[in-house]
Amino acid sequence: MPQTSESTKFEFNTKEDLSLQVNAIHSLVHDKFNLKFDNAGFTSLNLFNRDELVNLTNEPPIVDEYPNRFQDSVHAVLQHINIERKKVPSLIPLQEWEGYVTDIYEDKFLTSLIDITAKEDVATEEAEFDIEELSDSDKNLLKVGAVFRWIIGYERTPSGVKKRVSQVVFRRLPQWSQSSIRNADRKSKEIIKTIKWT
Amino acid sequence: MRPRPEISACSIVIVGDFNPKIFTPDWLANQSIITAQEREACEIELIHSEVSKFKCDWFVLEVTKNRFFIETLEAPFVRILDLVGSIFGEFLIHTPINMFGINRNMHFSMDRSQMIKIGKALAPSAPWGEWGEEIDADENNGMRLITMEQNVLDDRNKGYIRTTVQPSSRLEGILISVNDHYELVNKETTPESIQYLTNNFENSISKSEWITDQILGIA
Amino acid sequence: MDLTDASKPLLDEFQVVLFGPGYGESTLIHIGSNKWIIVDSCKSRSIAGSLPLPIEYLRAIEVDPAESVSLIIATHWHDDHIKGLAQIVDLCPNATVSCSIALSNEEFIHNVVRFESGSNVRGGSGAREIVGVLELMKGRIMKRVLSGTIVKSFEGSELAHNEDVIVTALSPSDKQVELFLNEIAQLGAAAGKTRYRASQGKNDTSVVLWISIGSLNLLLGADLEETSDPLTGWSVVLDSEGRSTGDKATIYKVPHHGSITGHSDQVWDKMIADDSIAILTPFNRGRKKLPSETDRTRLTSLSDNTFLSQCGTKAKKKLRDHTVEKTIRETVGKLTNIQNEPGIISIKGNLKSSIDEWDVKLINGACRLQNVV
Repeated sequence: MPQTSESTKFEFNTKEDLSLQVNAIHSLVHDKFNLKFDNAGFTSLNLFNRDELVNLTNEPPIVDEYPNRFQDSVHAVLQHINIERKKVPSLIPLQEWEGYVTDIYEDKFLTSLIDITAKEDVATEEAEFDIEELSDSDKNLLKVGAVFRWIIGYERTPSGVKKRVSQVVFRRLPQWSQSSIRNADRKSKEIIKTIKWT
Repeated sequence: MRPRPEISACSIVIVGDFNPKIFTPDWLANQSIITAQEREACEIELIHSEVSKFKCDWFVLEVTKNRFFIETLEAPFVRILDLVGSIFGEFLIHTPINMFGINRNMHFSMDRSQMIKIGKALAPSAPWGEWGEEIDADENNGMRLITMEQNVLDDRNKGYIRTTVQPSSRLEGILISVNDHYELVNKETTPESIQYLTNNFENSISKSEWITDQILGIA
Repeated sequence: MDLTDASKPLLDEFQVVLFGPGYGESTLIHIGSNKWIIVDSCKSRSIAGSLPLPIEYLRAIEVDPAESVSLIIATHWHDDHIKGLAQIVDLCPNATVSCSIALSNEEFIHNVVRFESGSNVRGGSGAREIVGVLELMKGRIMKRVLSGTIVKSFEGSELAHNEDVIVTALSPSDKQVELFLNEIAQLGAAAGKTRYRASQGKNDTSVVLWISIGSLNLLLGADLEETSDPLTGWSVVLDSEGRSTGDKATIYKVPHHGSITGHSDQVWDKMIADDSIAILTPFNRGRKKLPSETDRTRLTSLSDNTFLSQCGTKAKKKLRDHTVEKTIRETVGKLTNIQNEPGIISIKGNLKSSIDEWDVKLINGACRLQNVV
């Protein structure tokens, strides 16, 4: 099975390469996803089928004539991967809050909570959570002012089993970038300059 | 209480110019966009100059030369927004972006009679004349898929909201897909485009749920 | 909010109205001739899109804020204390706007604008309100105050009661400003740092105000806490150049929700009249509820007329799906509803009348502190 890593090259400079790559895609699809890439191929999509690809290998490859269709082939494979890929659990919220940490005690942290489900935008409730229930990576984010989402809902496994869950997820808010700092400082400089301070 | 989907996906699609090869779990972790633990859990399907695709604990990322796609099936959906905000608002700030979409796919479990009731309400057979009468004769006939579009919207210069209703392939019930599409017409910079996406994300989620409520109300 | 008990003062009367707790707390003062002062801002948590309470109150008594508000003072900078202040500034274009000198510091302004720019946190970055105020103040005059600054004065000849009115800041001190700015430098809104919601630190740049309307004095204590440092805390107020020693306040807005940390025996002894009215708002968040029982005992012993703006009208518990309620119980035990309705204390009277003749109204849950169990 071909490696799906940066070392895999889907470029065809020689007919041998093309042949190899055609085989690579077929193997990938077949071995990994147990789909057959038969002679008809994915005829519902305007793609290369196996024979067409094989025929191409017998002629000098004129890559430029076919790049879009090649991309389409790859994309279609991926679309099938999407459909057939290993199913993942789905977490459906019954209730969602956005919260922020207001105080940290020895074993708990105090939070203010904004009820997202009720479409509120001010904190109307507060609660204390156990620090120990946080994941290690979330513990690193714990500080006064840290923002998180708290979800209560059902997790549905791929096999259809439902499990009630409560999950606190700290938001990894985008960092301040050089450009966002520059833009903000431009605004603040204008404020400082235009207010008539006395 | 409003009905809840059994399976609910939220995705962000961005159309622009991308270099798929740079989108790897390692790159995301090195920028602290995901944690080291999240990186360990990622499964790479393909990393290539034409396309990159990998699946991590709670999201799937797929990038081709002109399309960036991230999807999650796990609430809180705002996580994919934060991830996109980090990638294009903080790091890849010169990536040309032309349009974006905020999409929901929701699978609702329901029995056949409810599905038929929704199908008949959304696509009545009477306008189909005599063929409609033939269709009506058997409950295995009827609506397969319907799409409704709103493209006159106050909250954007150009775009649309498209909602599609069809039987679900994942469970006994229906799939409602809402595609909330925005085109960027004012030559916005990348950070400006991402801010525009950020400003509309939560409203879009709410709107998709509101639209869904209208449809489910039929049953 | 039911404001049917709100009453408009006569042109030669004073009125002091305290609002809280809500999102913030606020004081509204009539100094005569339909001229009003607003200190900070307060909004009800429970009513989305509501107006700041001082504005709602003024409109209820048929006063046009745009015409009648002469002075707006921000004694805090954080959203939790001044929710709605930007709206007040916007609706009162003729008012002088004033704040602590610390809030005019360039590093402070850079930091708060960085917090707010591009923030997608529900409920705001913590600096939304102050940035809103600063943006509205572009092109307008902003008066910076420090201990001893006369914020604004009004000639008696312009007022129906013919008494001069002087508003003086008694804090912050230079040292308080310095400590505050050190703390602001730690906020960390810098490139490469992860965003978070700004929080108000320990160091407070509260503006304590002394308002004299003729011989009537008001002391508004903001949130100033006592410290052991003579260059900060209430010592600064007692030593302030802006204070006329010997003058005592008849109305005292007790600082920091009546807590022991806001208390100073010397202030009560030297700055508050024996026959006085003390007013305060409660604090109902976290593990510490203020005023505590000890605080209540202390305050009621110091003034026979102590009023609390909200005496325990419990906010209604939200009703949720039983699965959600069960999970809440299993995870955090309980959720505390902090959506208390703000109460209102109104004190109105003639400058020449005695305290017993003043009209004190307790609205929407306010009560005498002695009555709190």
